[in-house]
Formats: sequence, structure tokens, C-alpha cells
Amino acid sequence: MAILYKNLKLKTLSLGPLILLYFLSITEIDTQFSNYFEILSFNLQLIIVYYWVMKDPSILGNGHIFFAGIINDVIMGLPMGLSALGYLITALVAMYIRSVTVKMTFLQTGLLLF
Amino acid sequence: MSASRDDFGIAIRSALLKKGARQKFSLFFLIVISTLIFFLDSIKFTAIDITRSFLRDGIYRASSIASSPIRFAKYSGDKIKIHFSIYNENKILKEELDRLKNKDLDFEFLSSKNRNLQKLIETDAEIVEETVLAKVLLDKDSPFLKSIIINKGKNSQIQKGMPVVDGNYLVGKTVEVNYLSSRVLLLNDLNSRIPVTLEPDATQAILVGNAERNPVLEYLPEFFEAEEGKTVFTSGKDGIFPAGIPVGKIFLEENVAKVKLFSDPNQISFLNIVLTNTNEVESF
Repeated sequence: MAILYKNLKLKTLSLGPLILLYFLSITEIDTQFSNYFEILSFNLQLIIVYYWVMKDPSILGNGHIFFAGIINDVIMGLPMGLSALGYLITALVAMYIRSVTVKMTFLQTGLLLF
Repeated sequence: MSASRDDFGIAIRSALLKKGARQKFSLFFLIVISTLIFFLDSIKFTAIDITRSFLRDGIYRASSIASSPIRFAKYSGDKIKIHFSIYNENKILKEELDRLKNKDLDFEFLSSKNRNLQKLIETDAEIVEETVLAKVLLDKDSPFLKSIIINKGKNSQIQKGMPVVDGNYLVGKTVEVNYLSSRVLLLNDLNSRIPVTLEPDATQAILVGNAERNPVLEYLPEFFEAEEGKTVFTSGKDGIFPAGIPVGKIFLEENVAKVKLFSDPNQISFLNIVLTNTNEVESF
């Protein structure tokens, strides 16, 4: 029973980032913080995708990233597929960095930093 | 060096094609699908249009439901803020009341203004159209795109290009119409361009959205000096908007003539869509 409860808790916790990604995409929350900063603007969804793909790619499925992008496009009135493409490219970059950090050369570290 | 190139290739291939234990689709496959959708979106094809319209309707409804707790939190926060600021507000209102009481009304100016407005209304006699009341479903903030989603669409005879008003004041126009919902492009959107006339001398100009709260007046006559406080109306020269809809008041900011809109684009809950004939608009 305790193991079952622990597994359920872990599963629920692992769903957190996914729920957050969908929630930010579907609600009318300003995820770019355009009203708070004069010149600075950043996208919260991209940060979530980048962070969680780097940390644990099994938590954010590629299909979910794609679907969240499509939802974001519809809500924001952008051409459909544009955000999805942006999120997937971010996931690709994160995945690449995750792969190369296993055996990274000095040159690659420099290229990634700049 | 070749080993390094191999490593890069392996890493990219692994990132693109590796699906992992819980991944159902590879990144490469999804990137291709996204690109395909992006190109399909620009194609005008009935089947795609219908699918797109239904997809948007569904997502707008789901988004409206998902956003309701946030809207409630925002509403409660605003109420609390208003409650705490009521003392200051009362003080300001008293000062304003005194100022208004002491103000000497220029009857001549008002009557001239009234005459000009009457003229505008007379030229507009046949454009008094039926309106449809709509509720704002979504108002997602974006740095550049200023648009809102309303809960009326083709099922309420709404068409693309129809003017949208808040009370008597212009808010924008419909730019995307689905079966159950529509998108309204607000006057302060970067893509918004509205021909306007300035009272009382009927100067023509274009009201240009700048993604900020107050749009800018452009294409004013040469050597024209904008005066603060002048009222801006739609001119109807484009054949899209009926003439004489009040838009806002002029004010100067760093020698740039801006318009303080009568209807605050961030505070709209309900609005009216003027059911004009948009056949000319489509061809426009």
C-alpha cells in the first residue's frame, strides 16, 4: 500500500511540469512579462521546455511539447505551427546539449557558452 | 578533429531520432509535422479552414474555462486594491469636482463641436446598423499583438472586418471569424490602421497602433500642430468603418500626437459588433 501510494505521489509530481506547460499555454496569463519590463521579454514555456528536457526528458514528452505549441499559437493568434516549431527546436537544442555533456571537448564547451 | 565531428553527428542524430522510454514521437517527426502545419495554415482551402475554425473554437472555450480561476483571482485582487485606495480616490474626486465646478464652460466651442458632430451623424444616417452584443472570452497579453477573443462568430452573422464598439466608442475590428468565436484586432495593435478625422476642423489622419496603450496619429497635414484635447472620430474614408464613431482625445507626448482612447483596451468585458456590409471590405 505504501509503495503504491509512493508511486502515485511520484507520478503526480512528475506530471507537474507537463500540467504547468499546458496551463501556461492555454490560459490568458502573460508568459512574456511584457508589462513588467521595459526592454526585457522572455518566454516561460521555452524555459520550462529547455529545463525539463535537460533535466529529465521522460517528463515532457515530445508530443506534449508539440501540442502545447499548437495551443499557444491558437491562443496568441500566431500562424499555426510556429510556437510548436520553436518549442521543438528548443527541445532539440536541450537534447543535443544533454547528449554532448557526457563527453564534451574544450571547443564544444566554448561554442556552447558563446 | 574527425572524432569531434563524429561526436557532433552522433549527438544530433541521437537528439533528433531517439525516442526514449516514454517518448512516442521523435523530435524529427514532430518538427516536420510542425513545418507542414505552418505551411498548411497559409493555404486557403475550405476543408483546412473548417478544421482550423473548429479547432480554434474548441481551444478558445477550453482556454476560457482554464482562465476563469485566474480571472477570478485578478478580479478579487482588483477589488481589494480598490477597497484600500478608496480614501485617496475620494480625495482626488473631490479635487476634480472642485475643478469642474470652477471651470467656465465655453458654450460657443461646445455648440460648434455639436454642430460638427451633427454633420457627421447626418452623413452617417444609413450606416446605423444592427449590433450584436458579445462577451470577451480571452484577453491574452502579448508584447506586440493586441487582440481579444469574443464569444460570437459566424452563427451570429459576424463577418471579417466588422467594426467593434464598446458602448459608443470604437475598439477595433474583427480579423478572424470562427463558427462560435471571433478575434478582434484592437486599435493599439501594431497592425491596426484606421482613417480618422479630428474635430472641429475635420483634419484627416491615420490612427496607427504601436503596441502601447495609446495609438499614434500619423499622416497629418504638413505644418499641422496638434492641439491637446481634440476629439478623434472615424472618418469612414476607407469604407470599412462608419463615419463619426468617437475614438479618443488627442494628447502630446514628446511632440508626438497620441490618442487617449475613450475605451481602455485592457478593461473590456462586453462589446458590440456593428453588423455592417463587409463585402466591400473583403474586396478592399
